[in-house]
Amino acid sequence: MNKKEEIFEISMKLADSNQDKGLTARVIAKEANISRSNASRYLNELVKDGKMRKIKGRPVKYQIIKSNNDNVKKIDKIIGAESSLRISVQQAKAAILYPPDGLHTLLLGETGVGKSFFAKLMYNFAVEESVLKSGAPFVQFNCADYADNPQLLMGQLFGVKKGAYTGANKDSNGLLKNADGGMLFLDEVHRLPPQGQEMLFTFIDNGFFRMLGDTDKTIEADVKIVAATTESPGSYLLKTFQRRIPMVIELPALSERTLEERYKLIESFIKNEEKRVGQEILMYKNALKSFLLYDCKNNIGQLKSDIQLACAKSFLNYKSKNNQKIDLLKIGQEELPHHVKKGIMNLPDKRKELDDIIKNKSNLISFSNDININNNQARKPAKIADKNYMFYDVIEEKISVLEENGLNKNEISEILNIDIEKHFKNYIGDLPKNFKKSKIDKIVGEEIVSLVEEIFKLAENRLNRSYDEKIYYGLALHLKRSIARIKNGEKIYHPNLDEIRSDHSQEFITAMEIASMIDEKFSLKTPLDEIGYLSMFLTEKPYNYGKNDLKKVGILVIMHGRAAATSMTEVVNNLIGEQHAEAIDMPLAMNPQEAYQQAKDKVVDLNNGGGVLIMVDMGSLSSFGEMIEEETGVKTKTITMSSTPTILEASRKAVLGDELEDIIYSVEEIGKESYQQKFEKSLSFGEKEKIIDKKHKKRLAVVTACFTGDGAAVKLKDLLEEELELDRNFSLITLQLMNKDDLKKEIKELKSKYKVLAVVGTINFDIKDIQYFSAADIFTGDAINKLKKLIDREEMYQEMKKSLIDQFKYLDSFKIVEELRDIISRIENKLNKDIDSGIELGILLHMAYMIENVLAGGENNKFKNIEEYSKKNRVNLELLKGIVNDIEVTYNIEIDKNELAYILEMFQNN
Amino acid sequence: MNILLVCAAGMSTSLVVNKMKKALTEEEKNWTIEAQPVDSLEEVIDDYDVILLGPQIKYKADEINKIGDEYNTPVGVVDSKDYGMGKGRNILNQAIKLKENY
Repeated sequence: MNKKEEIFEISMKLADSNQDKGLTARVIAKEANISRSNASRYLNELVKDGKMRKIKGRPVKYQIIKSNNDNVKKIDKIIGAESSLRISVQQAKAAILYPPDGLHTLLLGETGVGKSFFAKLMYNFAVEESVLKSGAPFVQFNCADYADNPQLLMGQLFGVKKGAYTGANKDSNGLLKNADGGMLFLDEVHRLPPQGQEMLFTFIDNGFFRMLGDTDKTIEADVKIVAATTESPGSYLLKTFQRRIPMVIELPALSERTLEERYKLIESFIKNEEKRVGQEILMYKNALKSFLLYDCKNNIGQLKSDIQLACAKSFLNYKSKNNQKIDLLKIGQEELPHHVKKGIMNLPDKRKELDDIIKNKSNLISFSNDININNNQARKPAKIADKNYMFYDVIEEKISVLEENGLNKNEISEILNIDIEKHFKNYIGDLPKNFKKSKIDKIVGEEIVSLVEEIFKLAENRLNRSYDEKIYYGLALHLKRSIARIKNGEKIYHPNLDEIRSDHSQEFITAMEIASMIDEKFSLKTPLDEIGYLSMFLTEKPYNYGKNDLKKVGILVIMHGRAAATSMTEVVNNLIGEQHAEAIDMPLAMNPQEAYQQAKDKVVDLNNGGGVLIMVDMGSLSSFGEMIEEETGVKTKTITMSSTPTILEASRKAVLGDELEDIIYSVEEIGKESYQQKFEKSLSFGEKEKIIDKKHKKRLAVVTACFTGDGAAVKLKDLLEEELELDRNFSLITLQLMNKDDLKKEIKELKSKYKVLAVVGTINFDIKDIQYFSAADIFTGDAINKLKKLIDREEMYQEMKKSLIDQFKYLDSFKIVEELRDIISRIENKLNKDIDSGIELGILLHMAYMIENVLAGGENNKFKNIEEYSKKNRVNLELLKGIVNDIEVTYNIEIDKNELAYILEMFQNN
Repeated sequence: MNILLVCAAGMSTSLVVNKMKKALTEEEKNWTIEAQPVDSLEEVIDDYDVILLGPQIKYKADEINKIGDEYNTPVGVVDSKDYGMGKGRNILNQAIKLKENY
């Protein structure tokens, strides 16, 4: 930094502390520790550079010019300002700057896309641009909060005149008046009752409004309205708004934004949490992948809270296992909520984009470049743990806010009633449905887990109903928090205690019993209000099942054999993390009638309105679906030849709420193998090699065979051993057989363990893919060379497959090599060419990379004079196209004519 | 030394380029190894000391030899076994020999 820059820096610093009233050269000289004349020289240079201005007077003062250009606006720093939010940001600026006073604005976007955040940025921008005074009010109001009580809502918004209704015993200003000179953000504006809409429009058109209960006096206010709604564009309601509010800004859903942006969001949320915890939070790469890919229905808001939840779990793990081993906060799969974890299964859809983001990341990712965070371990126990279990805090906060606003006890209770029910639903509604019990104890501790178990045993007994794992988890979390609270002597308040007592008296009595259990175990005294909450957990429907649940397609796996169905289903359910698929085993002894009866009952049981998909292996089972549908009316489809991958795919889709037809489509779409491949891709190199080795890398073998007794096979083996200089990966196998049919059987057996290249012997035979050499040809030496070449070539391909591992992002090297070998030999056949194996190899590599390139969405290569070439070689290109079509189908790609020309040229000219 | 690998559309050689780069010794670390499609050879040949062809375009060897002669640059076809198996070191040795014997 040169001196001039230093002076500028100092001026900035000083300007901050003197409210930017201008600085004298003397002050600056003193701070910079240079002479006054030097200082004023630099300051004059800065004035010339346009960075500062002089204020006339004695002494002359210098002031920093805050130009629009070098001062980047906050709104320009919003993540995505350069890409998916570019237009929205432009619109927002236009809305603020539009002469003379700016435009009222309507923000559209799904829940959680950041409408409130965006509104706040618009406000900041207005202040930065001096459209609003600094310190101008920014008032936020969610119309859904009081949607059940229009009177109250309107009162909040427009104010209430004394005596307007019972309980309004003094004038109260509405939020609109409070926002005078500033901005009013109306969230979920579609929940505004018609009457309120009318009043709002009047205000928008005329700039004044009336208090509730006041008919003559109009109140004026200068307020910029930013309204937000989740209504989709074009809805009836929206049209009314759009007529009155000219500027409509749409904010894209998270799924429409780039992964890069999503990454930045994750980064910023983690950084926020780091600040709260006062410690660095690290994330494993796989967890990051999950966060990047999971279906985040409620957008950024949900992403944020899921990250907070993960951080909280990480924090709890860190705190509870306070041994030295865990010295860092880490987020791995274990810390992720289930629905986030499932994200990793969406892997293939966005592979390219994902790779761009994570390719340079280490396995454990640090988001922080601030080292200080980590040094500061001894900071106060961060509040973050509470933050996500803030059930009580929210309520308490609201009470005090409402009290400040002069509402009386009854009103507060009424408002909180709405809030609490909403919150309560959210509180458990968000939880994963099947939380594994073993995992809860990591979060809440064993003591509470066993207590909760006891509680439900008691409750099930007393109330004669059963509770699922979701509620179990909910109560465990709740108790963890409330017991701590009671111990700390913090207040617990339930606004609807009396109602609960009367409406749910049975539950209340049981809850009292439970309370005494808690008291005994933790030696404390559970207050009555807490018993109110406990009662709510015990009610028949403590939360509403999401509507989706009602329609999820059932998956029923039926297979022959004692445990095939059960074990496959178990694997699938474990992978999905949800016990969705169900199984019926059908031992061979079971008669079909019985199996059918079982299947029918299960189908009826599984049907939630979305139908049931039966996945079977073979035979009579395939007709079950139709019969069951006829008999029961439940929509039932059957998929045969089911395997673990197809069941996995079906369950995954079903859990996501896809419809029956869509599920069938995607299961059929998925080649059995290609799905398997997707899983292998996510394994590390070492693991991958192992699996591939097991699956593909069979030892090469040549079989020598003769009829029992003629001894030729052994002699052949000796000879070949000498001639072929075989390496360790190669086996020579001797078969002595009784008759010709045995040979086929034996070869078939061997093929499961070996890749049988050739059979040499005295028994002439014909099996696809296996060459036969007669013993006579071998003994005379004619065939030895051919056999050698065959082996060389095979070994070369094996080596090539190995050297290609991890060269491809989209292709499985073993698979593509085999596929292309087949394709190439077919092309040679059609074109009547016999191409040298070395050149074949080159062509194969070329084709593999070409396919990879197409899959990666890379550009086509342009073939010189393609039109002319195509015309000349029309027939051969057609032939080629026909053969390559298999590859196109397998990989769902289209191979361009330029590429075909390249390939054909290589075959023709070699 | 700057080595250029040439194949039909600059595709398959990327494997070979990778494997060759991995096989470079400490002293050779500053070598340039690149892949280009055969059609653009004349535009870039000046930048390289050795030209290697993928075996699948062996048929173009004569044509490319001529270009190599014009620019005083040795040309060779990569041994197909080394090529297919990605034997980077062998191919490097081949390039060195080509250059030395030119």
